[in-house]
Amino acid sequence: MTRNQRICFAVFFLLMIPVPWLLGPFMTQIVILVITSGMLALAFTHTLKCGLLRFDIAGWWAVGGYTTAVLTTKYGVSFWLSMLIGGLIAVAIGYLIFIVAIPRGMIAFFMVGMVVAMIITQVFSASEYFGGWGGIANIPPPSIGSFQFISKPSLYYLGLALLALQLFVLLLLYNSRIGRAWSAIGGGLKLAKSLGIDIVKYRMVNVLVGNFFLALLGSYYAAYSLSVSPMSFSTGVSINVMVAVLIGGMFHSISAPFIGSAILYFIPEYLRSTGEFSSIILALITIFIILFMPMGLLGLFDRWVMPLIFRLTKRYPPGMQPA
Amino acid sequence: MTLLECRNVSKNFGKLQAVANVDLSVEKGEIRGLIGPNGAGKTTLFDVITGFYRPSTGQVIYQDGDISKLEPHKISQKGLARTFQQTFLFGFSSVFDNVLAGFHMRCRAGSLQEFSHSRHACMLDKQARDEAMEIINFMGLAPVQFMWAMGLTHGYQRMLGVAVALATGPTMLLLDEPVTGMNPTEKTQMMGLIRKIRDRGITVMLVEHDMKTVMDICDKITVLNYGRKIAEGLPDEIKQNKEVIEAYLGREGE
Repeated sequence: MTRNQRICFAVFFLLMIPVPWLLGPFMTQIVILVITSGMLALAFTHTLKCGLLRFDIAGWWAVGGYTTAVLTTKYGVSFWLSMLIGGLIAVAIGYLIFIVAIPRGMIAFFMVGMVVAMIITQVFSASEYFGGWGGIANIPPPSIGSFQFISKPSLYYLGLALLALQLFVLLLLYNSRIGRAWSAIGGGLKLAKSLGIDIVKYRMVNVLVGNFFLALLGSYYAAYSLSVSPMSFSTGVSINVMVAVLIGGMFHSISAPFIGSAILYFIPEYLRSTGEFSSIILALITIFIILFMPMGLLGLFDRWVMPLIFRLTKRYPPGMQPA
Repeated sequence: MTLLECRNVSKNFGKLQAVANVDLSVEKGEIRGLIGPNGAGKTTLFDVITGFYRPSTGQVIYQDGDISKLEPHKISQKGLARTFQQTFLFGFSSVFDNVLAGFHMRCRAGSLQEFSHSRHACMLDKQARDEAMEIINFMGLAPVQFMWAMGLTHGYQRMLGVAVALATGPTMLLLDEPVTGMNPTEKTQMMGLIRKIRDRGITVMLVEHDMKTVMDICDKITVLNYGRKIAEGLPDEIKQNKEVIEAYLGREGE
């Protein structure tokens, strides 16, 4: 991890720690939603790095959620173990499906992803074992010893811990040879091939890492809402993820998902007074951002704010000295 | 010692025969020129050799191993590197990062070591960075080493393409139109570099349209027309070969 990344990581989490105490229970809930939605979008940008568009995010999220739901309610397995098992199942099934899709290119992968998510949701809603349309309720909350994660603040810290784990792993990966291979694949497929990079292998690793964390997130969701149902894992989730990434800015793969999610969740809060118009206004804002700020809010920041910062601090990145 | 050999290689796209029954062999330490009018199949032959296409007939043999059916990344791993006619680069990365990307397959530290940033992995990384710097200086890219690749002039971009290919540590380098679009000064510079590359022990085969350059630098020249090999020999022989002259002049008359 670079020095800047370490600093941002530390500062971010230090700022996030006092949130339940500072912002109160209602806002804490919103922040939890932003973090969860952000982590879903993070899986999208993660795969975008190696040139693939994921449309199957809701599906793997559901796999994690349902694995935890089934294992904890029907077999009395501990929450933490069910989380791990969910992750492994998502990786195994993902491998079987994507070993066919990935070698066939970005478009095939996108289509397969779309279909996979729908099939997974169908399987869960059609089968009685998974509770059909009603889903599974009464999921026991996670516990460590005698402490149970029921209160909103405790769930908030659990979510924050999950986020810290995911960011830590992703940052380590992105700064390693594996991450550089992903950037190379995303930067030019033919060039990457000619540099000895096995496209299929590295894309598969990338997608499966994404699957694993999506499943963990699903387990968290099960713990948070204490129930899972097919309704919560619809295709709308995948679309919201893409909108969040577009709003945040496609080129900032780690911060954009969270900025975008924050906008998507906080604006409706401020628009509550407008009643039914809130979703229309949100849609208009989204269209405006996509048309006039294609690089997203962070792109705007890069374009207008960063030059000022460089000039003020007199510290320029290499190669960008003013003439 | 024969490094690269094409035996009866053809490539068909449906009814279009882009490359037809080409036999070619390149000796170690040669600088071989591959010329021919536009559309003669030179780049297609390069694509077949480097695995971007499978040959419809025939075989490609590299260092006595059959590479006809291998994927491009496997062929690169065997030491056969190439540049592209269209100058593929990582536009949003600096010159240094582009060259560093070429070292990917040379840093074999194992995934777990890479992930945990072990000392071994970091040491290999440092070695790669030092060597990348050395290549950048060798190619004359030092003045622009921090610039984003997309901001470079055409000449520098081409040099960067060659630098990236060099970073893979090849035993043979296939250059697709290395001096196209360069001014005479840049051309001379590039030609000097190609000679130096050969002196380092890397065999070179290049496709070019600039006749003066090709005649000047190549040890031997192979000529393609309509996908077939029509001539092969020393530059002086090719210059006077009737079929070759007709191939070029005939095309101009059309």
